[in-house]
Amino acid sequence: MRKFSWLLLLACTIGLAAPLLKPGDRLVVAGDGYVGQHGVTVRVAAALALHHPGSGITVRVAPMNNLGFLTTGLPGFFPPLLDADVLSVKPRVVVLSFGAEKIKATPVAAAYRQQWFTTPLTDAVKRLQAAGVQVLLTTPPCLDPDAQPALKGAGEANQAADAQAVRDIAVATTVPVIDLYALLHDASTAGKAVTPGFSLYDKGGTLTTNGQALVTNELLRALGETGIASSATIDAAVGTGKGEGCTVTAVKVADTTVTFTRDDTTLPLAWMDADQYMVKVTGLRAGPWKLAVGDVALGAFTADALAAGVALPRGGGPWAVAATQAGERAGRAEGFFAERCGTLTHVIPQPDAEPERQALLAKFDAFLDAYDAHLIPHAWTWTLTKEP
Amino acid sequence: MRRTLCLFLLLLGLALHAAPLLQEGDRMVFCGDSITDQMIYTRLVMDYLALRYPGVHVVFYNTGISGSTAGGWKGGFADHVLALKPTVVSICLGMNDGEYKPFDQQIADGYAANMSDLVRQAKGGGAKVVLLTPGVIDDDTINPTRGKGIYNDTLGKLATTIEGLAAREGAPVFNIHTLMLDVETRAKAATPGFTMIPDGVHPAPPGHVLMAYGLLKALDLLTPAASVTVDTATRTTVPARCTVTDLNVTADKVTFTRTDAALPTYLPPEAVTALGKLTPVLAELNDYRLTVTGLAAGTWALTVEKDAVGTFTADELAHGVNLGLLPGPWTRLAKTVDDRASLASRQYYRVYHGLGARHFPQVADADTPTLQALTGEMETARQAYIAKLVTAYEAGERARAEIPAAARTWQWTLTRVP
Repeated sequence: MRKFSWLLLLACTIGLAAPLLKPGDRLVVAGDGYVGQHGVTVRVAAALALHHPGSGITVRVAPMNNLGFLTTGLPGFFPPLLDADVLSVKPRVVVLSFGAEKIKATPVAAAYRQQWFTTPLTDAVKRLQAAGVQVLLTTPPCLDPDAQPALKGAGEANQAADAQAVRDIAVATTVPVIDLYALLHDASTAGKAVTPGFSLYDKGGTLTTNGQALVTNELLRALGETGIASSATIDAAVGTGKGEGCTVTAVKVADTTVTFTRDDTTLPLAWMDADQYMVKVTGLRAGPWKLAVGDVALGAFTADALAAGVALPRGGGPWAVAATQAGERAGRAEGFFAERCGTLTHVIPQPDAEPERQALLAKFDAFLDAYDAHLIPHAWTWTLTKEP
Repeated sequence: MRRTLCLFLLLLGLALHAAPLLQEGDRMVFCGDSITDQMIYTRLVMDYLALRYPGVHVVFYNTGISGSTAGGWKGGFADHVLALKPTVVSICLGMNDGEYKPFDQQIADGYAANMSDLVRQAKGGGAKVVLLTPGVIDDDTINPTRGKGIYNDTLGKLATTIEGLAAREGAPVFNIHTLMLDVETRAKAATPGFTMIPDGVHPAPPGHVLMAYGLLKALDLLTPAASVTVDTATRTTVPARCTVTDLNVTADKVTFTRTDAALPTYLPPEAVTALGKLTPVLAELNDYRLTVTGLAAGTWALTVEKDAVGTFTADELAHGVNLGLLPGPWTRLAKTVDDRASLASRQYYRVYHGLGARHFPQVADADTPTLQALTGEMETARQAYIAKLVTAYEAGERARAEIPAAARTWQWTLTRVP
C-alpha cells in the first residue's frame, strides 16, 4: 500500500511538468506562521514576475499566524480564514503549508493529530477542490536538532509524523505534495557529512538563505517553473530579427552598429541555472562587438561568438535590475496582504461594523490589485557597436 | 421602578463614598507600557466596577503601548489619550524609564519631568489623573542582561519620585512597588521558586491583582461588597448593599433570599491560590460577609443556590464570615463579567493597535495616480470602520455595566450538620 502511495505521489508530481499558472492566474500560498516569514514566497513571487512579465500572474501569501493546529487547536477557526484569506481573492492554484509552527516537544497522540491536523487540513483541501482550485500540499520541513535541541526526540518524531500525515492527505485527495521534509532532511544529512555543524536552519528554527533557496527551487519546480528558453536571433545581413520567448522589432543595421528592440515575454532568474537567455547575431563584420542593453554594457563578443549564439549573464543585464525591483515589490505586496489578513480578517466579529469592514476590505483588495498591475520593464533597446 | 430606585441608591452611595474619582458617565483611559498592554490589571478594575457598582456606566480605554516610556508618551499623549476625551486617566509608567540600570539621578530627573508633563497634559485636557508607581521585577526570572539584582532598587527610587510628583500635583497615587515587593519577598520566603513575574518584567495574574488593588485604592473605589446580619432569635436582618426577603428559621435550618447590590469581584483562581493566605489584599478586595447570630452551637453548612460554599461553626457565623474568596454563584457571575471585560479589552485592542495607519499602505507606497487615489479612499474607509467599532465598543461597555438584578438574587440555606 505504501509503495502504491509513493507511485501515486510520483505520478502527481510528474503531472506538474507544464507550468500550472496561466496568464491572469493567481497563486495563493496559505499556511501557518512559517509562511509568514516570507523568505521563500517573496523569491517565488519575484521568480514568477520575471518568468512571466506582464502576464497578470499574481501571488498572495496568507500567513495564518499561530494556526499551528497541533498547538492551538481552534475548532472552526480555519474554515472562515480559508474563505476570507484564500477563496475571496479567487486563486487558481493554492499551496497549503501547515505543520511547521509551534512544534510540540512532547509526544502527540495519533488521535489528537487526526483531530487537529489531518482532518482540518483534509477538509481544507476538499473545500478548495470543490471551488475548482488546484491544490498543492507541502509537508512541514524536517527539524535539525542541532539548531533546536529542545525538539530533539519527540519533536522530531512529531514532525516526521506530521509530514507523513500530509503525504497521506495528498494521496487521499489526489493532490501533488511538495515533500520539504525529505528535501531538507536529505540536504541536511549530506551537508553535515561534509561540514560538521552544517545546518539549513538558524537557532530559531528558521531556514537559512541556503535553506530558503532549496525550498524556493522545489516550489517553483512543482509549479512547473523549470527554466526558460529565450533567444533573439538577428540577421544583420538583411536587417531582420525573430525571437523565441520574445519579440524583436526595429532592427537597424549601419556600418558599425546594429540596434533592435527586444520585448521579452520571459526573463531569466540570476540563480536558476536552467534559464537560458540568448542572443544570436549573424552577418556581422568580423571582429569584436560591444553589446549594450538599455544603458547597461554587457561586454564585447566576437562576430563568430555572436553568430554561434551568446548566453547572456542572467544576473548582469537590466533584467537583473528588474529582478531586484520585482523582489522588492513582491516583498511589499506580501507585507500588505499579511496586514490585510491580520488586520481585517483575523478579527473578533463585530456585526454592527461589518459593512464598514467589508468596505475597507474591498478598498484594500482594490489597492493590491492595482499594485499588482505594475509592470516590471521587459523591453529594451539592444545595441551592438563595432570595436575598432 | 424598584430597579431605578436601587440604581439611585447605589449612585447616591457612590457619591457619598468620599467622592471616588470614577463617577457615572466617566470615560477612563489606562495609559502605560507593556504591563498595561497585558490588559489584566485594567480588566480587573473593569470587573470590579461592574460588580461592585452595577449600573454605574464608565467606558474604559486601554492605551498601553509595549516598550513605552514617559518620555515616549509625551509626544503621543494628545493623539492616543486626550483624543478619547477622558474624564479620568491612570498612568503607570517607569518600568522602561529606568533603562534596567542601577539608579541614575539624571535618568530619574528626566523621568520625573516627563511624568510631570503627562500629568499636566491630562489636566489640561480636563481629565483627573491617578498615578501608579512602577512595579517590580523578579530577580530570579529576569533576563540577567536586564537589571538582575539591582533594578528593584532603581524602581523603588522611581516610585518615590512618583509619590513626590503626585503630592505636588495633588493627584491620587498608589505605590505598587512597595506592595508588590513586599508580597514577592514574603512569597519567595514561604515558597522557594515562587514567582508572580514569570519573565521577570510582566506580572502574571497574581501580580496584576495587586496592581488592580492599588489602582482601585487610588481611585478610592474600594468598598466592601454586600453583607447581611441575620438574627435568628428575632428573625430580623440588617442588610448592607443588599436586600433580604423570605427569611425562614427552624432549629436546623435557616433560609432566605438575598439580592446583592455590590458583588464580589473576579479574582483569577491562580491569584487566590498564590496570594490568598499571604496578603489581606484579596480579602479586602472581596469583603463579602455573612453574619448569623442565635444559631445553635455546632457546625452549619452554607449552600447558596446549589453551590456548597463551606461549613462554619455557629461561633464563626456569629462573628461574621467573609465568603468573597469562597466558591458560590457569585464566582460564576464574576467570571462571566470578566469574560465580557476580556472580550471588550480585546475589541478595543484591535481598534487601538490593529487598525493603526501603519498597517495600511501609505502614500509613499502609491507610485501611480490610481494607487494614490485608492490610498485616500482606503484611509476614509479605515476611519469609518474605526468610528463604527468605537461606537459599538462604547455601547458594549455601557451594556457591560448592567447586571440584571435577577442574576444576583440567590437562595441562601444554612443547614445544621448533624
